[in-house]
Amino acid sequence: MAMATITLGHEAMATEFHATVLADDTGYARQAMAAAWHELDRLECALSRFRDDSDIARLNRLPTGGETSVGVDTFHCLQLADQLRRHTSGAFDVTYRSQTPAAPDQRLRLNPRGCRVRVLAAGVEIDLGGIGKGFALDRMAQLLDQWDVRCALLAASSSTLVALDPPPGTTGWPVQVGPARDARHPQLARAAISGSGVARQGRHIFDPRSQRPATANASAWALAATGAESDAWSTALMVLSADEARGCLASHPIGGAWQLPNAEPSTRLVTLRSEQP
Amino acid sequence: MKRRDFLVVSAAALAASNLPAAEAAKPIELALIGAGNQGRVLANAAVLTGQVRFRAVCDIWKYRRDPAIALLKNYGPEPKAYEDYRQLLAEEKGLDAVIVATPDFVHAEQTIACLRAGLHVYCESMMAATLADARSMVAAMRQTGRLLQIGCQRRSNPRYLHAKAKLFQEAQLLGDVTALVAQWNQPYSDDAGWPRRFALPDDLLKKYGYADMHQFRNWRWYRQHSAGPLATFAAQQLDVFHWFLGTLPRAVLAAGGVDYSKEHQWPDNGMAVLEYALPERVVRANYQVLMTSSAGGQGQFEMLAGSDGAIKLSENPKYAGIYHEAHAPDWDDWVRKRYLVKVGLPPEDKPAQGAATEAPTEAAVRETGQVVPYDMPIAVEKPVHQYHLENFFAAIRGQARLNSPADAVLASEAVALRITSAIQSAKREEIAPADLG
Repeated sequence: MAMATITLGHEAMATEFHATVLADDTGYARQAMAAAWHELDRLECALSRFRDDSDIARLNRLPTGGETSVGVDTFHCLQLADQLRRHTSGAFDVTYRSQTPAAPDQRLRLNPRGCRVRVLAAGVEIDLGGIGKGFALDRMAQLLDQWDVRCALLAASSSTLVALDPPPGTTGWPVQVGPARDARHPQLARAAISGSGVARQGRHIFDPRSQRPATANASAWALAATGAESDAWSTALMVLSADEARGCLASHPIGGAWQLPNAEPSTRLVTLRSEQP
Repeated sequence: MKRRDFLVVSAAALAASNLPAAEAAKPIELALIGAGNQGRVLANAAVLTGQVRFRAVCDIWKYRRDPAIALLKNYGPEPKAYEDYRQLLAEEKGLDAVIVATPDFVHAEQTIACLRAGLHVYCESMMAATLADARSMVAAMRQTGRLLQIGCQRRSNPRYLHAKAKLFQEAQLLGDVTALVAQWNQPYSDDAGWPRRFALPDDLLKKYGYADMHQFRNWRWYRQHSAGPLATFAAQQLDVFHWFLGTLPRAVLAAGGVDYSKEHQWPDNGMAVLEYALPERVVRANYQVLMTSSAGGQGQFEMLAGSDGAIKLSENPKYAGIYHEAHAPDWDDWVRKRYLVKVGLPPEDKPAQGAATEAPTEAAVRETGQVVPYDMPIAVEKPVHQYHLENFFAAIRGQARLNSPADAVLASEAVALRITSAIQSAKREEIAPADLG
């Protein structure tokens, strides 16, 4: 049976998600994607800070010293976020909205026993906006693997793409990084890529270290093993200077990292790291 | 006992509980029977209470059972896996309660066995696929003296509780109740599939009552396994009216059919009109379930409408609202008491305070006064099922009474099942009180 391509969309996390799937049996692939969208909706219920009943909203209401159990998915996402905060020297931080003098590593305590989270300081606020979509795409990709639907590209808007196997006869899903005048074209297979920038939504990325809008870069891209990592790293790369970013990447390398510095319109794309030619 | 009195009593009981502190803090030992989508929702909500320890998970499908165990072992010792609930009951000693979230046609058998094993049971709604089965569950609850909470979780939802006690009963915002409207509309979705390499073998499917994997994954559409989506949603949503009004319908008219998905056995769209004889007047409920369209995104809600206003309830607050009729006495006192908050009108409809107005030189002809929207200052701050499970756990500890014991919601199940029989008969069916007990 010849492979056919289907494209499907779904709205969640205030974003349009899209899936491109190549499959012999498109009916089966649609069923797999229905299960994947269900997983996405389930995760949104736990991770959204805009739902009163979500884990994150409950954490954001806790007083200083308050502690609660959260769902396993929320806990794993917070663990990942904490790891990525350390890998990026604090440039990515899900507590960036907090109104507190407490240092970022003194705001939350994560206890795997019972998936318990303790809020250590007044004014702590969690926003998974810089990691949640990538985290959800990773879960969807895992689910498609269980269904043996292996040739697919999943996207949260155009900001994070998670690739499973590439189309037959290719080495990866072609993606573009950087402005058209100075673009790179990595191939994406069993990896994820995310872009962050100020072009679409204005200056919406904060530097958690200064609590001010990030000004160093106009755009940034990160290629990593998972959507959660690429999502978080693209945000961090918006915040970090090129030298700071190189320092972080030397200790914690990812597949690719690019910045478009916020200097002049003619500024060229800076490749900080790329495993592909 | 009236609901309001009960709240006072249960609050006092909580304050002056005679349970030793160690006993009160002891986790409730639980088993989960049925680890599908709803089972996972309930397991997650149960562990968030911090009051339970899951000892066992039972599901015939390893693909569902293993993730539930993986989830639960984060909150305590790893639960033991079972395929057959009978083996679970034979081997697991020291359980306090079970959560039953299997397909409806096995609820009665499993629930009754658990009750007879001395366990308290939280059973998902619907109670059963037939009225005979539902009645047998109530009988077992009474015989064993164990608790049987049915998953009509709206009865524990703080917004529903506020609406009933404060807005409907105390403030009497509706004036005279004149109509009831409820619906469950959802976009069409293809039948559920399954990952092929996790398909169950035919002999195992047949052992547990399924012809094949498609039937197993889509049991709600089959007469052997379910009373169908229309009855399922009606049992929960019409229960809200019965709970608020304390009245059951005396007649039903209904229409529906397998109009869209021809391979299904239960109607995908259905409409019913139910007639309620209140002491003062007859009111009718207009109820519909569309499994083929969101019909403009109006979603799911239950609305009580009256001469002075309407209370529209939904588990999803975006579909909910409280509406004041233009001619009705104002609700300012209730706003001051924080029973309500005003959502507001478009600016052009708001008269400016103290504004000078010119004497009219001619009569203004205007459209009917606008209905003013309000909301409740009550947020649902936990997953909706968590409130209902907390009520179940408090009842097990002797600190509360069940909000939806099986005998209280049996009548709503019976009404829901009468809708499907009215579709079959295609005529108005009179409902005698004895039919609903």
